[in-house]
This record gives sequence, structure tokens and C-alpha cells, in this order.
Amino acid sequence: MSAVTDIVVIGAGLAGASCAITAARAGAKVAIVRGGLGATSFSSGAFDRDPWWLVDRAQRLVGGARSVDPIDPDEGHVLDALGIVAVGTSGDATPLLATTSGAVRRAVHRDRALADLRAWAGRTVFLPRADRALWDADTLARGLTQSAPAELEITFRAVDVPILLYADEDRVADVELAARHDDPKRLAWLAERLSSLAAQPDRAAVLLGPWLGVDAPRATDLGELVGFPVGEALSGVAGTAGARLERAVARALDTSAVSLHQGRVSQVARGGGSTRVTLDQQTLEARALVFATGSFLGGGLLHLPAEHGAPADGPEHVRAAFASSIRGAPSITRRGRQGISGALLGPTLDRTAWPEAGAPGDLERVGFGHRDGLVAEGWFAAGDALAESPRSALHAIESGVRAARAALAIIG
Amino acid sequence: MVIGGGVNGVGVARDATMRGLRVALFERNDLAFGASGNSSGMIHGGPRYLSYDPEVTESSCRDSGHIQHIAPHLLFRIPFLYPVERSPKAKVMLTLMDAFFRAYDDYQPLKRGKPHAKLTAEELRALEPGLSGDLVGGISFDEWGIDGARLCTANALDAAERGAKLFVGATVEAIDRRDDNGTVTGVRWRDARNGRTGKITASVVVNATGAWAPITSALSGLPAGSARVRPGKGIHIGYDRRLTNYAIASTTIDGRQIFIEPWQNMSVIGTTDDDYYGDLDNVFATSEEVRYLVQGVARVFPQIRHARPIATWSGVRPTLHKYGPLEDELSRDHEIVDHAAHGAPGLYSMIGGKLASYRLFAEEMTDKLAEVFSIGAKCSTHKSFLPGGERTVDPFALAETLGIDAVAGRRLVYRHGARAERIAERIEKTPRERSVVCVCEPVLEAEVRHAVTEELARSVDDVSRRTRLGLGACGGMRCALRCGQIVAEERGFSPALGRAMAVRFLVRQSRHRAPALGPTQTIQDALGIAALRAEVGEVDASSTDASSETEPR
Repeated sequence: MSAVTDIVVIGAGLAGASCAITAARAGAKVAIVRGGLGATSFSSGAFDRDPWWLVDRAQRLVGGARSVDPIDPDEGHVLDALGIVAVGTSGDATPLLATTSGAVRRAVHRDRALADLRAWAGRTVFLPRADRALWDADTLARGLTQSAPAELEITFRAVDVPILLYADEDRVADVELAARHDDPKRLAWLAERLSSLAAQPDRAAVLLGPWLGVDAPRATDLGELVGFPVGEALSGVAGTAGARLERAVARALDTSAVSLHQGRVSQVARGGGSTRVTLDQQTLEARALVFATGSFLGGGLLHLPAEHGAPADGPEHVRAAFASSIRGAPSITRRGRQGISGALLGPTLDRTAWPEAGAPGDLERVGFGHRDGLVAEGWFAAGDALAESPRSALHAIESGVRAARAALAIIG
Repeated sequence: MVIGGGVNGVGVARDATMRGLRVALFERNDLAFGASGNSSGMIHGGPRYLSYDPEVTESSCRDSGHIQHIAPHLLFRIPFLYPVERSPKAKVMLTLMDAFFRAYDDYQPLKRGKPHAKLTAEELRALEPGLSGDLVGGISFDEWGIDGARLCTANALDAAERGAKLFVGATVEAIDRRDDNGTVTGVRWRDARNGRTGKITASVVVNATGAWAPITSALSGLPAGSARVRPGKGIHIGYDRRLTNYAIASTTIDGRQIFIEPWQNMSVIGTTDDDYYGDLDNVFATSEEVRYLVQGVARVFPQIRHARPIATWSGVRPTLHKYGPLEDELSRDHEIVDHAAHGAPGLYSMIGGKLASYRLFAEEMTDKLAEVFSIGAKCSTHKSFLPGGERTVDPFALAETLGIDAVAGRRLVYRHGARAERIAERIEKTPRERSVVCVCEPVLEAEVRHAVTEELARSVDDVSRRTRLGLGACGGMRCALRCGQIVAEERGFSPALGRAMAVRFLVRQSRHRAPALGPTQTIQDALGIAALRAEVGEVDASSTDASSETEPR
């Protein structure tokens, strides 16, 4: 089976989807290949452009509020299409998110379920106690009191309100508890419990763990039921916001004009002015190709002569994830500079993700074969596949949109 | 005065305290930070040493029996298989081994081990279906496993409860001596975490700092060569589950003996032995060492290549110094250096030794001390129980009473013996402490708090050494931040310091894991840590706490 299209995007994470949606909206015929879950499911629900603590520090050094760049219309459209993002506006109103670790962090945009403390200024924030290992309401209330800016005049208070319904809920994973709140009856039950806190609804708010819905963020619905705002604390490990984002991305693709292909790419080849992408059951032919494969691009990657499938003696040569008609693994050129792909090599978030003292021998890295200019006309990359981009949600969207524009220019 | 919180140091502290001496112990990093907490987790008799060091084998076996008596909860049986591959000499080899292990059997009763058995290839395969190669047969023999870090903790606790003062986290910066005759007068110390300093007088200083021994002896003004060791680095790789029923011995490409063993909840392969002259406070495995071990184990157990490694750990053995021999041929014996010979009366260095014979080494050292202080008390460390060893507790009954998982109960009782009941009391008082902070191992909130309040843990790393928190398949991604919260709360640190501790732990662990992980897993590891970083932001790695919490216990 073979299909002819304008653009093929390999990888249906945030970057790939941003690219496909943007290109399809501009009228191109787009096919996207979805292989499985990826880095998008690691989202914590915060949409950053740069690491937030660097922005914090810059602001401390420069003083005053930093104005936020206007949102690119295409990026704005992608955010809208996701349907779960509360878009931040100006520098003064940067959302401030409470985290389950007790830190308070800024974000450019956020998953709607996450509480924005800035919007809760002057309120008493109740944290219901629950016998869950990673949720100690008392400790958290103390931590947030210390981290939240004093001028917000928020009081954090742990309270005894039963919020767990079934016996296993002291131990089920956050994402599982969140999925249970997709049920409207369950949400109504929770609202009833929380309503008891509403002696002064205009002064109250409730902060919960990342437990409010997986199909969609349910915090707003819950807030409407109880008459005061309810929000989630951000967690880097709960998986709830990541699962929500994966679903939002999948939904956005489903409702777009992009054609979806499930499976693994076994070969990409360039010839006669077009690119052929071979999947298990079919071949896609297109004029432009976008790699949005996260860390799996070309298999040139990184790393690591540990014993992962190595032959009995001697080092294994890193294999490409799929064959390519371009000799050697593709290299990526971005803004005129040649880069090495492989997400671990990226700066900023990646750099901090790895111990800086890591020396050769600790983690042996394998780069890409370098060539002049573009690897092949009409091939582009987006998201983590671009080593130069820090791994953040907004960079994924931005690079996806940029790849879409480049691909659109090629197909004319 | 004892310097060093490894097994030898805490062993001496305990013995000397029991004999009525007033003891202070200084540990620069944490209890079991070095070789003691990074061993193979076996108190084996060392059949390897039988041919050239039979007295080491005997003392190891005898002392292994004593440890079983005083801390039965910490020991678990590890039966070994030694397969022999077909070769022209295989039959002879097998007969020789049979005879060899018959000799080893003489020592087995000392440690309540079972005698060896000669097995056919079919019997070997029936016992361990994953065994590979063309085998002519093999031998089984019996060893004991132990959590070395728990052994240190138990000794330290007992010493403290009997009156020893423990300064964990305090670095000895100088050993003071009299100008005229060189006699030791005491030490000066600094707590690196809060900058506090102090001075303590003592007429005898025991240097039990393992591979650090030359550095420590130099603090007294003596040349480092006065307490010489041949430091040998050994690494281990941990897998996410128990891959075999039995430990299996194998050989490396250069003919060294290595093994894969089921150990606690995981399988472990080890070990290397290489001269090491790097930073003793930062010992990491390299991917070359990982490859060398996996290659060796794969000869008998090829599935190891498809198993999931989740950890490496590395320690530096303080082997007796000798110039010339290969690392493996060095004696595992121990000796005490009396620095009176170097003009520093009152300073002693403990060199060499093995986990299995730590108690005996400590006894020998304390005998010397008893002589110096003219006290007649005899050693009784082999008779009195280590904390938790005095009684057996039924883990399943305990689990049911507390409403926790049976596995959690079993691990709790393994680590704490009868002291598990103290943790149970915490839960009865505050039911929410029943919650499982680390699901991989598993570790309850009550146990984390207990480690901080009763077991001298001051950081997430320390709690991890006490409880194995964060050392399972998820590498602490889930539990480290929560543990940091608890440590900060219990010790009165700021919540931000708790978060900093957690991130430091995670980054250090990921560095330990990196050499053993495959590409896919490495990417996930990096993403996980990036996600956590994105939650807590920048942590000040140098942040220390200003609170005055160096009161010794």
C-alpha cells in the first residue's frame, strides 16, 4: 500500500503534532506516524520556554517584571488546539504554580488544572490531608508558606476533609486517582466533601495533588461545583499532567485534517525529488519529511557501549533506528550551524539533567556523521531531535511550527 | 578515639565501649560510606583464599558464624553453583574442585553452612535453567549474604547506646601530638555541613579509615607511608530483579573469578579488583568495568545481556600493601600498625580486613587497647546481640497488625530485626506513617523518620544507605523529594534544603547508573531528572544548614 502526500512527520509527540497541525492548517496534505509514547508524557503541566529558575534569576538581576514576547499566531493556534492550556498573558501576571515538593515556580503557560497562586492572592488555601505517601498536607503547607511570595498574602492550611473514597486510594498512583475523577459522579462526590470548607467562598481555595482528571483537566469543573477555585499542585513525577498532554495531543491530531499512521518506520529514502517512508504495512511518499522523533532520530544518538544487545566481544556500533538512503546518520543543521543530535547533548535542561562532572568514559557519546549544509533537501527536524533546543514544551511547539513553515516553503 | 565509620571503626567502637572504655567515633561522610557499604553483600568464607591464605578462610568462616549469632535478622543464605565447562582438563578440574571444596567443607560448620555437592550437568541445569555452555558438571557450596550498611548501622547504634559518642559527618582535620615525645593528645574536627569545629582529647586514636588510612595517618604529621594500603577498586552492577535462584560463579576474560548472586530484591554481579588512586570520596564505576563484568557473567548466563541493570556501586578495598602481585593475589588478611614505631605512641592504624571478619579484627584491635589501658575485660561482641538481633519477629504478623503489605513487613524486619517493633510503635501513634514512601524497596514513612531520629541519618543519601530507599528500579525518581521533605522536617532544616538534598541524591545516583544503562533507559533517566529539576528548580549544591545540630549521640 502506498500513499502520496505533501509532508510526512515522523513522531506524534508535542513537536510532531505542532508541525503537522500547523502545516495542515496552511492547506498542506500531511501524514503523521505515531509509534508510541515519548517525552511528551513526561510533561509536568508547565509550559516553559527557558528554565524558570534562570528567568527568575534574570529578573532578580535586572529588576522589575519582564515583558513576555507576544505569542506567535501559529504557536497560539497549536496551544488552542490542545484545549487544555491556560495561556499566560503578560510579565506581571506570570502564573505561579505550587509544586508537590513545596517549591513555587513560574511558568509561561500551564495545564488548566494547575493552580495559579497569583490568581489566589489574599485567599486561604486549604490542603486536605490524605494518607498518601507523597502528599503530606502539613509539610507541604509549611513549605509553600515559605516559598510563596509574601505579597500574595496567601495562607496555606492543612485541613481534615476526607477526599479519598476507596480503600486502595492511599496507595494507587497519582495518575490512577486522577483517572477516577474523570467520572462526573466521583467529581460530584469530591465537590460535596470540599463544600464544607466554604464558610467564606470568596476567601477560600483548595489545593490538591495531581489527581483531577486524565481525559481532561477537571479542576475548573470542580471549582464551579464548590463555588471557589480548586487546583492541582504540579508534580514532576506523578505522570498525570503528562498523560493529559499525550491525550490532548492525540485528540488535537484526531480532530485535525492530518492523516494518522500507527507503526514503526523501517526506512526513509530520498530520490527523484521526493522522500519515501516505509512503514510496516505501507509506504508514504512525500515532498518533505520532518523528524520529530525525540531522542530516537536516526539512531545516531548518544551513548553507550554498556552491554545493551552488544556482541560477545567488542563494542557495539550504534544502529540507526531505521535505514536511510543517506549514507551515515543524518545530521541536523539549525540556523546555519551544524549540530549533533541526541537529546542528552542539549544545553540547559539537559545540561542540568546530567551531572556536569560527567567525563568521557562515564558516558561515552556517539555523534552524527557531519556533512555540509542540509542532509537532504526537504528533510527537517523538530523537538528534542534538535540537540540545540532545550527540552521544554514551548521549544517543542516552536520548533514544530518552524519545521512546518520550512516544509511548506519546499512544497510551495 | 576511633576515626572511620566503616565496619572496622564501628566494630572497635562497640567492642571498646562494651569493655568500659570511653569512646568517640568520627566519620567524615556517613556510616558505611566506603567499602563497607559497597561490597558484594556477602560474608563469605572466601574459598578463593583457601589455597594461599587458609587462615583467612578459617577466620572468615568462624567470624561469619559469630555474626549470624548476634544479628541473625541480617543474614540470608546464598547457595553458589560453580559450573565447569567441557575441556580436555575438565574431568580433572572437577575432581580437584571436589577435593578442594571437601577441604572447604571443614570450615562450613563454623558458619552453619551446608557441605558442598558435586553435580552433573543435568543437575546443574535443573537447578538453574538459564545456565549456558557445554558443561561437564559442577559444585555447589554455601555462603551467606548481608546488607553491609545495616551491619555498620547496627554496630554504631549499639556503641552509641552503650555510651560511645558518634560524630557522623565530622572530618578529623588534625591528630594532635605532644611536641616532646610525639604522644597522641587528641584530634581537631570540622563538620563540613555546618562549619562547626571542635577539639577532643584522647590518649589513643584508632585509624580505621580503610582506603583513607594513609591520608588519616598523615593528619598526625607522620608520612602517609606509615599506614600503607594497596587500594583496590571493586564495582558491582545491580539488576532490577532476582534473575537466578542460585549464585553462579564464572570467570572473566583474564581468568578472574566473578559471580552473579541473588541479593535482597535484586541480582548483583561482581566484582572487579583494580588498583585505584582516584578521589576516595567520589568513586564511580566506568563503562569498561561494566562491560568486563557482563562479558564474564554472560559466558555462563547469557540472558544477563537482556536483563535490566539499575545500579552500579563501587568501593575501594584497603588491601594490605605489597609491591608486585596482581590485585587478586593480594592477601585479604588484616594487620594493626602501632605507630609508636614511627614516633607517634597512641596512634594505631587498622589495615586490610574483610567484611566477614570485621568483628575479629575489631576484637584484636580492642585487645591492644585493653592492654594499653590495663583493663581486664574480655571481648564479648560475639555473644551479645546487635540491636534487633535479640529476638525474632514474625514479619507477616507485623504486616497484618500494621495494615501494610507483606513485602514491606518482610523488608522492615530484615533491616531492623526486633527493632521493627519500634517503627511499628510510630505507626500506631501516627497511622499516616504507614504510607510507602519508596515503593520499589519498599520503605515506609515511619522507617524514614526512624532512620533520621534514631540512626544518625542527616540527608537523603544517608537515609538511602540505612533503608535502601531510592535504590530500586525507579532510582528514587518517585521518593527522593518526599524523603528530602521528611529529613528537612525531622532535622529542622528549611524545605529548600530538603529539596536540594533530594536533587543531589538523584544526580549522584544517575551518575552511578549511567555506565550500566542501555540507550533507551538512559534517555528516560535523563528525562525523569529533567522533569524533577523542572519542578524544584535550581538547587544550591553548596547549601549547608546553619542550624546547630552537631550534638553527638
